Amino acid sequence: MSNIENSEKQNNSMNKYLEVLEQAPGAVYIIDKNLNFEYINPYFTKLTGYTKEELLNKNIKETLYKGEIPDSRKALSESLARGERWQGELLTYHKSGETYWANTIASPYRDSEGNIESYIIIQQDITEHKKTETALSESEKLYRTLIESSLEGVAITKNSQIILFNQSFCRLFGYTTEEMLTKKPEDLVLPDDKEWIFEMHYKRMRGEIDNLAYNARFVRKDGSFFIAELNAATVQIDGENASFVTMRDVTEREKLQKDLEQSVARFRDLADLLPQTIFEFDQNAILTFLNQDGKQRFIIESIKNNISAFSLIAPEDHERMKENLRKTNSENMLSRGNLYTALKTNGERFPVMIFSSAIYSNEKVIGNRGIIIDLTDRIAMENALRESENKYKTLVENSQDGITIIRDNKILFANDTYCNMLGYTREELYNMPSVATLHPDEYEKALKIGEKRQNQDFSTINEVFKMLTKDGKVRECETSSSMILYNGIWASFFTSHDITDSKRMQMVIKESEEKYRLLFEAESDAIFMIDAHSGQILDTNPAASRIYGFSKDEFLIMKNTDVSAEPEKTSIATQNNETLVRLRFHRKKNGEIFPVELSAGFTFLNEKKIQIVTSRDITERVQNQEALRESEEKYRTLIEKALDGIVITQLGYFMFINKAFCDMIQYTKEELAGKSYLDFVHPDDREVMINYHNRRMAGEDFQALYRSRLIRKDNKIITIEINARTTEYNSKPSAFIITRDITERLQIEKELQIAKDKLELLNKDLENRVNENSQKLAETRTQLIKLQKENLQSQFEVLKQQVNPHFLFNSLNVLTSLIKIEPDLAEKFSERLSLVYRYVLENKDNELVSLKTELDFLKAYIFLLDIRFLDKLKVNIRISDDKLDEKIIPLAMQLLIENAIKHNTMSKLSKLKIDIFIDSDNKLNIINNLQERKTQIISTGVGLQNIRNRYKLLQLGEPEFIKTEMEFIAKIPLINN
Amino acid sequence: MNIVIIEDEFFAARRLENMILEIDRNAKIIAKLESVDESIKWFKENKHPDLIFIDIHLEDDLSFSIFKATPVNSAIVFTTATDEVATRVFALSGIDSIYKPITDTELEKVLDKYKKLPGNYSKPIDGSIFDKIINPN
Repeated sequence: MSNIENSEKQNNSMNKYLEVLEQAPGAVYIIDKNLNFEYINPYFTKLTGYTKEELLNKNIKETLYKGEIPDSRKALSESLARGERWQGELLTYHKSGETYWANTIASPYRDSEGNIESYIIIQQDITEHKKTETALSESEKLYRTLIESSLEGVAITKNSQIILFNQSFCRLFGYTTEEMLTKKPEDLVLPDDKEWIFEMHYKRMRGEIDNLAYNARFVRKDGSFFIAELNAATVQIDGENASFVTMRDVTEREKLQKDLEQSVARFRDLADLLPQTIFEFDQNAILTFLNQDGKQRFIIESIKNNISAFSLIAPEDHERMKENLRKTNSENMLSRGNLYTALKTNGERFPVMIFSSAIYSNEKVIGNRGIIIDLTDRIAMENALRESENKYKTLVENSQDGITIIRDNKILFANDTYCNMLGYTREELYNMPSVATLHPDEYEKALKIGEKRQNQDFSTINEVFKMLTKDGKVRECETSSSMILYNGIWASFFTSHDITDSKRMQMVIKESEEKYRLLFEAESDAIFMIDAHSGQILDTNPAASRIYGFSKDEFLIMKNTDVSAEPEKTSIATQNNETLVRLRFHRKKNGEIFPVELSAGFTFLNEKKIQIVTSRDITERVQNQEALRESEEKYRTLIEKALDGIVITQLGYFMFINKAFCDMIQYTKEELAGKSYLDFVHPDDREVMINYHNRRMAGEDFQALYRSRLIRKDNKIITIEINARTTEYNSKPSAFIITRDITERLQIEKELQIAKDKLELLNKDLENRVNENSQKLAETRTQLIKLQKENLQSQFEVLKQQVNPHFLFNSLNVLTSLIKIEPDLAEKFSERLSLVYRYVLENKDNELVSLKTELDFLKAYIFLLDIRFLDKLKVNIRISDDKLDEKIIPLAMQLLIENAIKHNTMSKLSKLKIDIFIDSDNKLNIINNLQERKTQIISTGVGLQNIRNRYKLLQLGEPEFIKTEMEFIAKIPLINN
Repeated sequence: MNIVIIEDEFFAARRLENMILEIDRNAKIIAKLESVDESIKWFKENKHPDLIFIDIHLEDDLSFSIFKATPVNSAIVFTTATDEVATRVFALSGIDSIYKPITDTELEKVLDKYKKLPGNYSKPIDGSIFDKIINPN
């Protein structure tokens, strides 16, 4: 082959390759070793926007790079400078300044000697591809975030593997992310549900069914299960079917739904029990519910065959019912009771009141529910009430008694009788103050009744009131008041009966009766009605029979002369119409003759002259005169013989002197007669005497007791006690003076006084001596107290011994119980038990221990209790460290806790809670809630008294025990160092 | 023999149960009750056992209240740690009682006694006995 041929061939081949380059769907350009463009294919011009002319033979730095090699090209140019090939993605600039991504391959071209002659660069525009890639990664990120943060569990399963899941998914099952990675879908499904879930799953995978939503049960890590709502969709992952699952725990929702259903059921059960009709109907007024009562009342067996609510109501009410329903449903409120006539299926009608409200679902009215109240009974009752009201109204209106109703002291109602009684009209009385119709004398009485009413005394009160008529006249009324409900409020109900007229009449009758009685019946004197002409007895009173001994019948056949012991004198007196006979002797039936005083009057009865004779038995009077005389005699003797001196003076002069007085003053009666009493009185005492005398003369009647001195005949002064009083002597005012010589008595009294004074002096002396000895006495007392205290101290030891065997036995019982069942606990228990008893022994001799020691012991003790009662008891100790040095008597807290346990019930549900803390008064409070036992066993314990006694011994404050409704509080004094 | 244990202390009840079952293989503890309320309810609703072991102090009241509230047709053995007055009254009234901690010997004696008695043996408790031991509140 010739060179030319060869070169031609070469030229042909060149042209062919050049053609390829020219047509290539990629940019190709060549630059020489000086970086000048040697070749550019058309695609490159299209890609960059430059023309061939703009670039050919021009340096790349000055054209494409616009001066310097950009950083993005440095790797490329360095590679090429080392003679190495470079491949990568380059951000390339379009002439317009826009950028695009180009997949670039650059390689150096060497000549036959291996020197770099030029660089060949091939570029593929990958902008679109790059954009898609970025968009994809962004969207993936978005979805991942969405899934991760979703509150619903999200997972993707493929080929029975969980290939993706979010945190919520883990949470649902209670696994950690790491644990979930090892799980397979079948591990998560409740075995019972596995079969059908997987059957559906495979069907879906095979494309037999589409996406699914269903509820199923799943198992948590802890073995419990939950109900989840599952959405499963088929997705393609790496060209294979996978499951995209979202799930949500609906256990709670299911439960709520079930609860709701139950509550609806309960509502219906309740509704069935109600004695009123309860209904529900839908928006077409078709009954959806009717309770038992409704079915019975309307005689409907079942509401299955679409019964309209309107069929329960009479047709004439339908329009009104529709209107009411519309209102209820639009105003979203319970309808007020609407009155309708209801219709039973047997055609019977009855009055009802219906309350109803709309039933909402998603804020839309889907029906109504309500209650139908049968008014038959109520209306019947109302009618009966109205009838009875009318009846009583008629009664009140027509009553013969005045009737008023008063409230707040105002007249609310008065009937016609009352109006007529007081002369007012009804209008005038209405609202009038009730006191205006009362006589002022009665205000107080009325006020008292008002007070009673105010104090809830509703008893019936009967009173007679003086009332005032409109024109001011007084009417006397018998009233009776009680309380009634008037228009629903309590008011006083008065009935008044005018007794003014009847009272006056009664008075007249009473008076005449009285007269007659006095004259005739009750008269102790005998009264005879006698025919003045014949002396025939016509009538007698009971006194006549009593005095004379004759019965009335016997009298009626006798004459006046038959009762007289002096018949002649009697006949004469009768004939002479004598009206008064001072003394006449009459004869009784038994023959006894007795003195009478007679008075007579005359009257005419049926033209007959009638003599009325009153005969008074004066036996007694006569006897009395005799007795008086005898008595006078007797007293005179008595006075004469009296040991006291007795005188009677008139105008100061002696009228009577007894022997004793003469002896006392040593004058004879004769010497004293006609003398003035005053002459014998000591001059200093005369004024008193005169004063008394003047008062007597002024007519004053009094008794005077006083001392006075008299001068005896031998001039010796004697002291006398005088008891003087006014009397009448011979019908003239006189002084009756009793005197007694007390001279001797005074002397004795004086001596007594002296003796007494002496005695008092002696006493005072004695007292002084006692005072002197008081110091010694005090010392003795202190010794005595000390002895008492020592005695109590020994009692204290005894008290402490009583710390309680009960507790030991109970503890031993617990211990034996524990030994086999809980040996470790038994060991601990016995440790604490020995701690407790060691404490008791060690502190046996201490009066006080530090709070710290006591609390350590108490904790061991509480441990024992905790084991014994488990969680039925809770002791809470809140004591700050700075109080631990305070002192307390040993075992007090333990005793109080023991007491709380003994007196209260405790269980897991209502624990016995004991709080121990120090209050602001620095007292230790031990407080337990009260749940007292109903019964107690008889115990020999000493309890609270033990604590009280121990503090009493120490005399360091007093414990307090307070029982409130809720708590028992013990306050124990703490003792500072 | 069907037995009911009425005892408010958990461990004490457990121990008694174990001891009974060790002594008598045929014994059956059909209930363990803790309170008066619970016991009254149980006796109203269940067939009464042959024998009851019953503590005096229960968590809500004295156990005597059970017998006042409902008739109990069972033999009764009271258990107590230290109620001296009660045990003396029981002894005088022919009611069985054993001290806690219960010993095997004591328990065996009681169980033997009721095993030997006719099956339907039960001595009704005279409620007035309890009034002697109770402090009226």
